[in-house]
Amino acid sequence: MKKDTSCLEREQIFYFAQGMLEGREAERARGHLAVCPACIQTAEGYQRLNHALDSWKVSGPSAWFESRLQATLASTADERRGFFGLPWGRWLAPASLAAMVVFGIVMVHAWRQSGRYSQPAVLTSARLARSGQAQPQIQSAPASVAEGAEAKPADEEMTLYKNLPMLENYDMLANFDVLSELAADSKAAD
Amino acid sequence: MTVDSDLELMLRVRSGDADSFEVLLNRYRAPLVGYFSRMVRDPALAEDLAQEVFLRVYRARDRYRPNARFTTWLYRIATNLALNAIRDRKGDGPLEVESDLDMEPAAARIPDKKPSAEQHLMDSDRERLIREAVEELPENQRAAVILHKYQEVDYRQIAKVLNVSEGAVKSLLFRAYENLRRRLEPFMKGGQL
Ligand SMILES: [Zn+2]
Repeated sequence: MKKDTSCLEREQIFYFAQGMLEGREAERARGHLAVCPACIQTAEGYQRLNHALDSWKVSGPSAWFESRLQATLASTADERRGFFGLPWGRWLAPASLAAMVVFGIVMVHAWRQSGRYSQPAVLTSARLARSGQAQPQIQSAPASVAEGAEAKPADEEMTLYKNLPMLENYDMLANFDVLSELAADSKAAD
Repeated sequence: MTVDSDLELMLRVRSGDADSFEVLLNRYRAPLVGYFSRMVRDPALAEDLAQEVFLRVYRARDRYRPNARFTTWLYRIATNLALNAIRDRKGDGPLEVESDLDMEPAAARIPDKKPSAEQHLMDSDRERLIREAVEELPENQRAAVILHKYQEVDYRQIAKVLNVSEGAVKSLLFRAYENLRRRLEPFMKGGQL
């Protein structure tokens, strides 16, 4: 084992300079650096390097970053549950809003053409609330539910609601394997 | 504290709150684009990758666990994407980016601050030297240095992001900074840095 008077290893100096040493190791490094010009010089070298690295600036996000993401999210959400189920109203890009309006008109037209009454799911949700049944988490029903909900009893509609998170999970699992690693990692860490 | 509010926001996103997602987006959009810009250089690719991270976070919101720190999760997704992008660009050959060093579209780069023209030139030289030095690092060292130095992620958290021990991260960072020091020291002594 080294005596306290011997010089620090470069690695120790680096760790100390970066605040990565604790307890006795940190104390020893601090004590030695207070009296050793050679080790101080090494530490100052890391400081200069650190300062030099500050010069590397990079661009911020482009002006269209947010609108692009909004559009992608809107279309993703549309694929997943239909626009009417979205709580992302003020998020939607104008183009998506226009698409919603057109979609709505087409749906109303199709409904009138069919002459059959498919109760709008939003109303259905409100009705369920009035009748004292538990509300699902989603704020209003997705179009896919509205389409499939005609003349179905309320409990069948609720089954459809309940199945939605599962469908979402399937979609997510198909797209995102990193999370499972992270979950396993978290368990291991615990 | 940021960590707690990230967690709270993410829990709210999980239960369908769009505003909370927007807050997270505003908070991490610039850091993520910055991270990718340094990892992959190409600003357009950096932006695509940052978009992909947010998309994945949104899609995976139901599986967010409060026991994993939000930024750990975020940077883990980001690092995986960045390393894959670097490998894709590399192909089977040697290191990728040297050849297109000066082909970056200037118009696409909006500096954080607005320096004078002269200052900008000097900064460009400095930036180029540093960028080249960082890009020469092996992938893991590069990710560790960028997370540590530019994203200000603590080494303990970097360990979780990279899924290695804290000791391994310390050692990784030491080797990375030593490589950078060796490479940049002549320029620092020569007054160019
Ligand atoms: Zn010494």
